[in-house]
Amino acid sequence: MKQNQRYNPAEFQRKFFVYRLLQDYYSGCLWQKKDNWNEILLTLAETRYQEEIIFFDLGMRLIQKLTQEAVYDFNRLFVGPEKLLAPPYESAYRNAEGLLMQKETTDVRKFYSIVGLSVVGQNREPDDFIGLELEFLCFLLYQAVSCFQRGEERADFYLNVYFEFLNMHLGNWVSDHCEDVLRHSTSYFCKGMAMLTKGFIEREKSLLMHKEEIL
Amino acid sequence: MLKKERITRHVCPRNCYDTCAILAQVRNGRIVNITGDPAHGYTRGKLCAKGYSYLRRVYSPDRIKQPLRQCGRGSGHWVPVSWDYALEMICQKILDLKHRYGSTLPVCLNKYSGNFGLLNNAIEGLFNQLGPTTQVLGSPCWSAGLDAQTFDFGNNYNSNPENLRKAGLILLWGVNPVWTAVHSLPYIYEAQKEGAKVITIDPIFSETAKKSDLYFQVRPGQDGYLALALAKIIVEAEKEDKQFLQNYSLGWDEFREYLKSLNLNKLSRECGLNQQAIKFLAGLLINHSPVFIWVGFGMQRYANGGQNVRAIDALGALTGNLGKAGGGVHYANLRIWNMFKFNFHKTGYKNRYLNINRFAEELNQLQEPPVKMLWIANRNLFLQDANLRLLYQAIKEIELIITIEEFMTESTKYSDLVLPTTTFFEETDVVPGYWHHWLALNEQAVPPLHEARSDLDIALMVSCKMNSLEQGSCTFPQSGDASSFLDREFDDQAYSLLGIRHWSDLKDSPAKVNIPDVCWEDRIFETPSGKFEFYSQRAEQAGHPLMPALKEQRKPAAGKYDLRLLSPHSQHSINSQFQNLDWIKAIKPEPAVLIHPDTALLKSIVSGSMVRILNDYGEIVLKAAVSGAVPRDVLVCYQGIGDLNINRLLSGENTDMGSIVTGNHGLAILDTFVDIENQTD
Ligand code: SF4
Repeated sequence: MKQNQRYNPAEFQRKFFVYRLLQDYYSGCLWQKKDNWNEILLTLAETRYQEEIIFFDLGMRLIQKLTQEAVYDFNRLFVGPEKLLAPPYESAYRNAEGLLMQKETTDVRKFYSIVGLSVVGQNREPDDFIGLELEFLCFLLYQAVSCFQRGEERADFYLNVYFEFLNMHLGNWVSDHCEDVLRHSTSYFCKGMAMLTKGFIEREKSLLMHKEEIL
Repeated sequence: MLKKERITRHVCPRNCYDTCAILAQVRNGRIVNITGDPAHGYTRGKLCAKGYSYLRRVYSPDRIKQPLRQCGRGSGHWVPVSWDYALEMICQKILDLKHRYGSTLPVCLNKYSGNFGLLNNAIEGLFNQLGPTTQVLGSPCWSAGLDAQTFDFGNNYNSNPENLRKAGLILLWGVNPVWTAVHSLPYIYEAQKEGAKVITIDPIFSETAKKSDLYFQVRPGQDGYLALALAKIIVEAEKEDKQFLQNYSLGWDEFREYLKSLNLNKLSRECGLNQQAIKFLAGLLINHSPVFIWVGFGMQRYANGGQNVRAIDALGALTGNLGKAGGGVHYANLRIWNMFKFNFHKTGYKNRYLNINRFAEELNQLQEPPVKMLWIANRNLFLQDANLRLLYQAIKEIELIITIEEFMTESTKYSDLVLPTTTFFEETDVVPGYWHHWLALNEQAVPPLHEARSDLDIALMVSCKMNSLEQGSCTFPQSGDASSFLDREFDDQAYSLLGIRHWSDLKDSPAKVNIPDVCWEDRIFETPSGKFEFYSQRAEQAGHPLMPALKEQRKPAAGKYDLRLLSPHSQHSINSQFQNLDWIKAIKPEPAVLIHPDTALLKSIVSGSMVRILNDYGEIVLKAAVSGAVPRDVLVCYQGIGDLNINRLLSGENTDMGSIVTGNHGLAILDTFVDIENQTD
């Protein structure tokens, strides 16, 4: 089914919103927005995709309540101090050694540097932390849209980097990561967020074929 | 991206004989490889399997990355907190306790040997500047042997162990270097090639025993009987070194009379070797020279452990081996540590010291004031302490438990607050060792990962916070870095011993310390008499027999728990360290208890049976492995068997000696008696 993916401001607003939500989630800031959670859910519901994205939709149903158990579950999965059940780092999945700060990390670093970005606290915080990869993707998409609106040619460049990064990095490991979460999580919330993440990134990846038509 | 590459120097800070020097290859701020440092004259560019696994540690996804608070001790409900929050929590608690009890004594530190870097002692320095605090004193490891050698020689020195290569006979007495001190092996093999005999004396037919020319199976903890039997035979054959004894020893006549009074039958029975074997060994000691005796730590982890070491010292003395290149009785060397003054440790307060080996008991009994805050540093207290049941009891009354760690351990499980710390690749330090005569530098190769902080930085940060909350409440420095602290630790004397002008010169190469290559070569001992003391007034003053005595060994209660459980060090871990690393897991054999075939038959146990080992203190369940390498009445369970906590079975009995050098008696770990049951019954 080939859809018309042409530039649609609402569609991009939705993407930015989801990216930011996932970033907040992985960086552990979401809990501070606990009081606004219902509002966030409403916005999320409004930004529903027209077509059915099973994982995304299911995920949305599971994240209705943000409980304290979810916070503990989150920390057990991604923070520690025990052995992480779903390490939120690319190299933990893609490096044969399963370590942090490996070639995958520096490859991601190279991508960031293409657009003149670098991580604050380089070599302390792995560049391939999922929160940073999500932030980077969101940044690229935002730049693409901004350039497009201003009629600048550079929009294509950003979009290319966007898909390339998705294809070479986040899109390559996030499913495994989310499956780890689904396997080990003890809360609906974290399971839901894993589904949401998986559904969202997979859909983004699938747009690669229609890259030319997006903007 | 331009590749920036450099090589940095490091030292392994583990509580290990070898204190290896390491090189790290750092590319663009990441360590990409590590190797041994060939510039180190003793470890010569090689590491052990544990050492080669270090990168697994630095870049493990499972490192503790930020301060974490546990909501409900033991609940597993953790939340990350900022450093500022953590510091506030700690300092508020200290001040609150100080105001409630009118003293800082409710604040307690339990620190030991997890990291041997000089500046890893910073937390102790911090505690010493908070006011009088409660701290632990002593060592579970080596105390009895240190005292024994202090009585006999006056201090704890060894010859440069490279001298092993000059030996005519090497007695590896209760030490398993093939597993736990691999860097000494080339020197031993070199001697062997030149015709030296290598003999292992051990209750267990260890890997070292397998590689030796001869092996003698001594009954556990009865090494002193064997040493005295050998001494008796040698003296009866009039093969003692009369010249040495006459000029450089004190109490020889008394000791000779004492030897005469001993019954060889009894000695032989007690040490478990027949007289023919003992005489054969005595013959080797007479006919080979020099004799290098390496005294391991195991034999002194008994209620009569200090006496065992004294008896072996006496054997080394009367055979005239002291002060000879390639000879001597070698236990440990404190000379490298003694180069440092530990200036940042000094305290003007009267701390309350608890015996590290009776921590749980003493903690339970403490009143006026009780301990209300416990800080665990460089230690996995809840796995490595004795009498754990009592410890769990004791911590119930403690309001805040803090642990500094790299990884989740049994101790972090019981902590309220966990502070993430750096690996040695992320900090600057020096690591004094206790065996070879080298000192090497640990350069900072990479910035601290995540939010980890070094022990020193944590101490500095706590001091800052204390003073911001209450001016003058902590006199530990609030600023400075590893360099400024090291500047103060290295004085002219240290520099002259090292032959360098500044500690940073160690970036170019580790340095050989200019201390006597052969200890006691001048035959001037540091005892009160200046001689080797068979007969030690100091020992008597400390409540021990004047001469190495045949002290009754601790025995199992009749009819119950009649198997002795030995828990020596394993090849792939140091106490509980390294076990969490995947590489080590991959090569480490499955935890098992070794049991003699006859005992196994009696108990209907076969290799692979699940067995329960138990006594009044606790129990553990694991697989059995039937093995002729262990004596009949002994079970062997190597340390570091994962979550199976052998220390649950320890009673916490102490060794006979230890208080002179370490402040308290050691832990008689090997006086542990148990029963074994087939779990499938
Ligand atoms: S554990 Fe011992 S032998 Fe192994 S690298 Fe460290 S110091 Fe060397």
